[in-house]
Amino acid sequence: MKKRLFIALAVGTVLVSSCDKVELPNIGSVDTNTSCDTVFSFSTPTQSNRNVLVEDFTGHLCGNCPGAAYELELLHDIYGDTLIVMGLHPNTSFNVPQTGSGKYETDWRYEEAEQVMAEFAIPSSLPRLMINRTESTPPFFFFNANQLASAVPAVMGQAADFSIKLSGSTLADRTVCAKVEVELLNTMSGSYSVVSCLVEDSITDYQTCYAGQHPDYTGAGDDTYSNYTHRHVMRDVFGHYGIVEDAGATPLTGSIWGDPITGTTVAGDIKQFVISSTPMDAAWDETHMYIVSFVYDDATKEVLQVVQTKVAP
Amino acid sequence: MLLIGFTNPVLGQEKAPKKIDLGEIKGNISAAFQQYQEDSAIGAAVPEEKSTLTAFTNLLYTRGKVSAGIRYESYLPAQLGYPDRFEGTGLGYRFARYKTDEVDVTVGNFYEQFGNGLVFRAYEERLLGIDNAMDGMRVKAHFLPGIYLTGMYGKQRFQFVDGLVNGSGLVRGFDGELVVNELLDSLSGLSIDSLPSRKLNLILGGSFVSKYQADDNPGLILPENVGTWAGRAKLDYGKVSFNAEYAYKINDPSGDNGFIYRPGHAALMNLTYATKGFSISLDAKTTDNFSFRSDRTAELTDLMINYSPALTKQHSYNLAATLYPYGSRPWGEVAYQGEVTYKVPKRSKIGGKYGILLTANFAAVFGLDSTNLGEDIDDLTSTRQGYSNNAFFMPGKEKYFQDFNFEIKKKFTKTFKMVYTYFNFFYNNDINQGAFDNENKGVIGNVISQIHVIDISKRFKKKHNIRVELQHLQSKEHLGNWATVVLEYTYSPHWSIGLIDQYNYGNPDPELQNHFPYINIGYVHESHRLSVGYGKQRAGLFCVGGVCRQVPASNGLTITFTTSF
Repeated sequence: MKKRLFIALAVGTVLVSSCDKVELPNIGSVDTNTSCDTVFSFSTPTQSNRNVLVEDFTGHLCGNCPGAAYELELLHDIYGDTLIVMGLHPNTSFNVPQTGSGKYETDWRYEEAEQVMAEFAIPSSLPRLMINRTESTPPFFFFNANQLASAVPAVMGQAADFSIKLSGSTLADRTVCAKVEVELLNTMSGSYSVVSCLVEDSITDYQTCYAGQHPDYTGAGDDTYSNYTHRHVMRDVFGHYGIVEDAGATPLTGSIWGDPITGTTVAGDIKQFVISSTPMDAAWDETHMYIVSFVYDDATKEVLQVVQTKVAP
Repeated sequence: MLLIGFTNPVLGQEKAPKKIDLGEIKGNISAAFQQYQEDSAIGAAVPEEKSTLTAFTNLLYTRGKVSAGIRYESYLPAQLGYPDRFEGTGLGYRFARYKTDEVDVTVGNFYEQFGNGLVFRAYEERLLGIDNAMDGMRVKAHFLPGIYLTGMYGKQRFQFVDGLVNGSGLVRGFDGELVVNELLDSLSGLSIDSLPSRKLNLILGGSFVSKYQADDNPGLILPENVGTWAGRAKLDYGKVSFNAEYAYKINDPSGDNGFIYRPGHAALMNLTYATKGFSISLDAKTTDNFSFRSDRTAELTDLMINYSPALTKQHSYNLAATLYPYGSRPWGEVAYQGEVTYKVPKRSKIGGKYGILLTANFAAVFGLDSTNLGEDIDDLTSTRQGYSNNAFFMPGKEKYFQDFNFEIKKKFTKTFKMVYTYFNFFYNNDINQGAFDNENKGVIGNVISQIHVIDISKRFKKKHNIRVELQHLQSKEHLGNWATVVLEYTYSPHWSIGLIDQYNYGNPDPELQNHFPYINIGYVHESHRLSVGYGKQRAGLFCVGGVCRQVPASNGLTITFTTSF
């Protein structure tokens, strides 16, 4: 009698244990043991047209650079958030920190900005700009400030092949977690990658500004303005954190080339990436932080879509 | 019974002949031959072979506690409208069984049902081409009075290609049933003859069924083992009977539910009161995300592990049974049914010499009262729940189906009787998708129809019987009005001849106001039956027990033969 009962209970136990409950079904789900397991609320996805990314190579000792920044402000007034700007401070003479005078002591330089500058053969005389990383005069990718007014409108309003939506939040250790969702609007035959950058906006610090470059900064005999507002300063390139959907390639942690879009590239495909920054420097104002994510063509390097969203505190 | 006698040659003159029991073989054969003709007027389909043969032969060998059986099947090819996974000829079912009072073990194929079938039902419905027989092992145990245990493990029959082909998923389950009175009787120690007659009878049961299917999806983490369990009770108290079952299923993403991970629920209740000349029956059912298959990508009636009975009356009159039948919705529904039967007593003023039997039935099926969660289920942090159910067992706003019908059955003399039946159907074709217009496009919206049927039967002399059915369907939607006449003559005990004509005289396109005549002659001799039919059959849904199959229009000859031995 006891033996029979035991057998029945054993059979029942085996059967009852034959259930797999799945909490997070989607592959690429955030590992629940890691710190970026957080709830994201996406930004509004990009529309059917391409946004435009302008990368502004600049420096605090560059007296002509505020002119380019001003030109970009004027264009932003026209095109709104479809124009997204990132200021890159490469390791050139214009960004060397000064010592002893109390001026220009901030070190704006960022290694990845230097890498981008080198990869695209940007001359060290600034300001130089890239517009969607398209070639200006082949094989060169850079534009001069005086070309912005015509070159930016020329690429505005193009039909998009990708849509991006984006979300980001800050952890207690000031790491920024982000999730990028890329949707293919058309079936594509090439290979593509996604890059995400952390950007700090509106930092007040020293800047050299020559006369006539920016109407807000005039009158200083030595062209030095301590109250200059530095816009859209690239602070970090996001490294990969989670498992890339359709995993297969090893993520390039923190690379300026970002993460590859793997698997099929058929219209309607959705690719998600969970990524994180290194913890933010204590001096960075987390209320001014943005994430800029863009998709580019691996072959031509051209930026095909870009989106920007504010980091939730 | 095959009993063969042998005589011992040496001792033959001294002892009686010794008989050796070689066992018993029983069987039956069923074959249907159909020859098809083209008929553009009704869009009749013709297979390349022009004709089909669908045949089944069951052989059952029994010797003492051991039995074994096979079913030889032929689909050469299968008749039109059958699932396209049946072809060739070979063994489709085979088993061996050992059965005593305490243990019943089956290896090979078997059919089985736990409770009302909410979590498990392996069955065959040949008319629909459904056969989800298990192929594996089943053990039934009855060691203690009142306690019945069943365990099973195996795969499900999926298709037939010159033989049985199983689906890839595994199904395993366990069911226990406690017949309380039987247990109490055994504990009382009284003999069967002296047991008290109990007014209250109670049966309790529980089931657990799990399936396994490998996760081969690159985009999702799929549960490879999915379990479902159910509890049930049946209570009889005098003239009242109550039967209820509740079932729960853990996350089971599938093609049926759009690969959401929400758990499933189902419940079934029936309350019956019956006394002399009067009965009332009330039913309620809900299923919520409760489709359960051994292959999560299977469709239609393939590889169903469980069964969701339709809570609507199954009709037999042609127009009521074939034009707007209801099939259970796999994603979920809430259904109610009530039926009252009253017999006006014999020899009363109204009832006359034989009385009048009155039956009224009402059934309604609704969608779930649910809220779409509006989540991005492809989002990495999504748990893919899909929707929430606002009120269990309460109907949603969308009505799927409604059937009100009542029947008056009156016997006037020993040889003459008449039945009048009225039907009122509400058929949501956006959900049921069984109504197609003249261009063979699905009708959008609801179809409302009313049917009147008069069924007259008259017996002449002793062996002659004539039955006439006059049916009329009225509808402003779909194909308009229909009329059907059935004439049936039976010459007992061997011959019968029947003629049916469906006439779509209300079709909006006058050129498509077709007749669908069909004549059938049958001959019965002992256990053998031969039937020959010729005529047209309309395209439409064919349903049995809430499970439906789409059948194409056809025109041609049908010969069926059945026998048993």
